[in-house]
Amino acid sequence: MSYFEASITVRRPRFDVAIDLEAAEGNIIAIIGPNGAGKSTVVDALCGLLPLDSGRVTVAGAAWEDVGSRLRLPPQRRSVGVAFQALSLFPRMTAVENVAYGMRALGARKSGANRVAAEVLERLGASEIAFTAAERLSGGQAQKVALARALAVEPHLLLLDEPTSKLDVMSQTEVRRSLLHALREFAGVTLWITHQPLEPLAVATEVVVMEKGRVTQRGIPTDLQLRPRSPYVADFAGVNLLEGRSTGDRVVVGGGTAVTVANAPLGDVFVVIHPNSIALHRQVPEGTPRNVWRLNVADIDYEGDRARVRLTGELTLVAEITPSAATQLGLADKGKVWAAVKATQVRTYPR
Amino acid sequence: MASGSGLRKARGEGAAPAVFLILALIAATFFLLPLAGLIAHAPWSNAIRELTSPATLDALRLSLVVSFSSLVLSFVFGLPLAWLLSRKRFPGRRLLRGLVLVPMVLPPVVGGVGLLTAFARFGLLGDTLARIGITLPFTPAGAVIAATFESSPFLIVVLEGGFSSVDQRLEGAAATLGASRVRILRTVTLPAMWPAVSAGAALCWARALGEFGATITFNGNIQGRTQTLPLDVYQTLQTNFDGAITLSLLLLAVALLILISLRGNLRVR
Repeated sequence: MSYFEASITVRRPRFDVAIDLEAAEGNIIAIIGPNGAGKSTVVDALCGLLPLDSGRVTVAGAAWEDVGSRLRLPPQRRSVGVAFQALSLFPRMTAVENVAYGMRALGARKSGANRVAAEVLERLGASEIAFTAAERLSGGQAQKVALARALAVEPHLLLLDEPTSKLDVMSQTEVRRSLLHALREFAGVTLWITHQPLEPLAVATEVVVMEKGRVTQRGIPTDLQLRPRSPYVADFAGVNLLEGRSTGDRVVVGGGTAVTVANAPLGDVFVVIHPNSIALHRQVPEGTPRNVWRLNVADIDYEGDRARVRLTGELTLVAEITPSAATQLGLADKGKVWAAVKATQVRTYPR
Repeated sequence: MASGSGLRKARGEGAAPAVFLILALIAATFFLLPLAGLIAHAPWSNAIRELTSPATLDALRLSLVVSFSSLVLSFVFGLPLAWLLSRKRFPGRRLLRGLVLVPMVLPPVVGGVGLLTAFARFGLLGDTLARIGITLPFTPAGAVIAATFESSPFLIVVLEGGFSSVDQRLEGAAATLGASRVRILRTVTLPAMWPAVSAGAALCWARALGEFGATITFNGNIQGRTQTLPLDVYQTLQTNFDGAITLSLLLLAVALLILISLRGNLRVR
């Protein structure tokens, strides 16, 4: 049996939230998904604030909840640390008092608890605000205190609900760096929930994609980026995802458009085209066997050294070219372009 | 810009309309006049003798004991009731809330009669209480019961509002950190609703101090046993108008003193 095993279902007004999770000690699971996918429901269910409708949760050999045998530990008896999305820092307490709260509740003396709390704050790079009142902390500082409060009880299960989503870009980077640093010394299982999918990819041992209460895809981070199985995952991986039926060297996708491919599996497949493998031309291109579609330029986003061109027509694609190429092609005037992709640069895998 | 703000003022969003000012002034005068009258008619020469008479000292002592006992009882039984009304959904909750409000709308004399029918020897619980040696009517304990009946609803109503105003996610966070329910109440919930606790306590205590109708109906007017300051004022008024004014000023002074120190203390974290 794994260190952490959860198989839970929670009924919700619009859809049920159901998810299976499993992890070894020290692992980090990232749960990603759009807003309203039920991610916070998973947090509330695991920490015991929301009862399960079915399923069970086992952590470090102890059953926390088992609907079948009517077992349900209250939050107080679960070794859990939660950094809530709403932070929920205690007002009228300083940062250090907030962080020490859990240790005090578990019976630690005030002086000892405050000392450990100060150390945890320091580990997160927030020692200078230790004695600041909770209501006077900035967004990034408050987030660090919330993380420190969750870590300070040395829980078996650490739940991080969108730990950076409400911060500006600068504090996001700062908080993320502090968090990653603190997690290196954390022995339990971490569940990192976010709708900013790239965030936990570097450290996660598994990424679970949740949409409308269901797991739509799961795997190691690189697998998700290489083989997205839903538009949401494709979007964060930054690739074009099409679905179609393959005959080996051709895939017919929605609308009847054919995509020429190399060595595709037969039957229902996903087709992935990376935006920077799409070449754009104003004139019909010549040369090697390739896919060529005549599409409309819908709009252009400039992101640093790249221009992302959204194309519509028989296919909806995003192409990535250099800004100077966009200027040479006169894309600002919109109009029609030829989009060309080599068959060898189209990736396919079974649905 | 200038014409814009002028327009706004003309519409009454800036300055108060004159008619409002006049009506508000009349209201303020209405509250001030009786106080001014008490002070203007105060028989300062006889004040010391009146204030140090045994009847007055008895009444003062009893009033303090009764009002603070009521406050404590109201907290002990009212806090859980307020929590229940605010946080739990159960059949009959609205009925229960209405029941709590009854003493606030019931004439206190009727409340006193009701207390008699419940706790006097002939009352619903009278026999039971007598068998275990408890007599309430015409005793200091009876005065506490009457004052609590009339004053605790003020505390309960305000506390219920306070409980509802607390962000329950804070309590959830405390629970995940291992805090027991009592600890959460003490360290998170009550501090977060402190304005309600302090306002409710002040209202409840003041109402208990001023309690008259239910007390005199349920307990009579026995010096040293059930004669609180308001009852003393009433009795003195029959024969000695000056004495009644002195006692009224004493009651006023006690009320102001305690309310100021109570709110001051309760405001402190």
